[in-house]
Amino acid sequence: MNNHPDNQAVDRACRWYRRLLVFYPRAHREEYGVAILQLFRDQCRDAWASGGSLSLLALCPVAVLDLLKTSLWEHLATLNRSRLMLRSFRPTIKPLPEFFLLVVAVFLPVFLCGILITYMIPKTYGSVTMIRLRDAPGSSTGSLFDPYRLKNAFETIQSHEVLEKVVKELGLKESWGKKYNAGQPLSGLDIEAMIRYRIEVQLIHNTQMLQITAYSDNPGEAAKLANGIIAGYRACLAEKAAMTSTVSSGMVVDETVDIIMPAVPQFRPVRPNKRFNAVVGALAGLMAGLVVAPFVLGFVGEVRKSKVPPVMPQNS
Amino acid sequence: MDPAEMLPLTPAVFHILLALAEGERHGYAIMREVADSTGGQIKMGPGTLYGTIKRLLAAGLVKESAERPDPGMDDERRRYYQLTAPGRRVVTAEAERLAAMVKLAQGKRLLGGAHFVAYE
Repeated sequence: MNNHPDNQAVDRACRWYRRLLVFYPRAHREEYGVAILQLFRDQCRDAWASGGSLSLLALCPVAVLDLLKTSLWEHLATLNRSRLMLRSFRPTIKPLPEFFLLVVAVFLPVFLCGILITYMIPKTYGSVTMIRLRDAPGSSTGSLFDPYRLKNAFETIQSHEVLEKVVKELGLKESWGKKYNAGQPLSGLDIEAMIRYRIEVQLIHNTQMLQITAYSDNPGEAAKLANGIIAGYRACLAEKAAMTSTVSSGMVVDETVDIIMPAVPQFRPVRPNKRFNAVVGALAGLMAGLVVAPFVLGFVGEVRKSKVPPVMPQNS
Repeated sequence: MDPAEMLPLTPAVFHILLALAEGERHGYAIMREVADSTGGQIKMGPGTLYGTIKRLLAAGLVKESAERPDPGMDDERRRYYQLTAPGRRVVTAEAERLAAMVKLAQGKRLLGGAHFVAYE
């Protein structure tokens, strides 16, 4: 008999709990899934009736932990179905080496997965160029230390005006079309968007210098892209200078660009960072090992202590 | 089957068998009974309860009841469980074992009088 009409919170909790039942082995789920869910629903109703949403919130984590813990039990019990099997499964080594071996057994797959993923990630090469802005000869405008002018240069470098020159100069419509669009030429705007995604422009603090880093899966292409952007920017400034000399009014272009450091191909990839990934993989493996090993040892200890039937620890 | 072979029982098993000693119950009633009888010290989650019941069924200490105490008053999906004769012998043996331990502790003046019954 259902004396407690379910409310939405109870329904929602039960829906989530039902999804978590998937953690149990199929046979156990089919045999006891409905009963477990019904029991949880009863608990939820009681919790809701006694303390409302706070009681329900307090119940849920406890029930979920219980589910996760017992699902591990059921999986291990499935693997070790009989006492005979449990006996043969019992390791003959002492607890400390047992713990150490478990940590290593968890650590190694996690660490190796990290290394494998690192080697599967495509390599990305970066190429850096550095430029300095300076006043054009005979300029009448203010100092280039003006931050607004530096920011203006920063934006101009990534503008359509400059990037369309880069696309044209490097013939990227065709080459990137072959590479990324099954041989079909890409539109200029698409390529400009791709370039913006692949470059990084940085203002160097308290200087008139800008650093442009270009990324590509090919070291030579990264260097060409970085240098091409500088060339495009210089061409753009030259065009503006020519316009100001012929037009009496309009913006005065009064800066030139010195290349401090041209981009050269770098053959050491910037991504993936193998050392960093290896360290992260090792730490993750160690953490996983330290978490899993006591849990498994606890289970094995319980099984050893218990007589028939093997029983689970109380839910505190 | 010698009940002594199965001793000692874990608290969860002992309390489930105790709850069923008074008659057949469904899962939630067992859970409530255990929580009430231990003053809330032992609270079993649904997974723990049914995992333990599964093992007790496999060991033949409990069985599923075909009859329902009051079918009209209950959800028909509820499953009722009852103690088997071996189950009753095992829980009795465990209770006797614990009683002997309490007596021993009392003899060593670790506990109060005979009225003091404790189980941990």
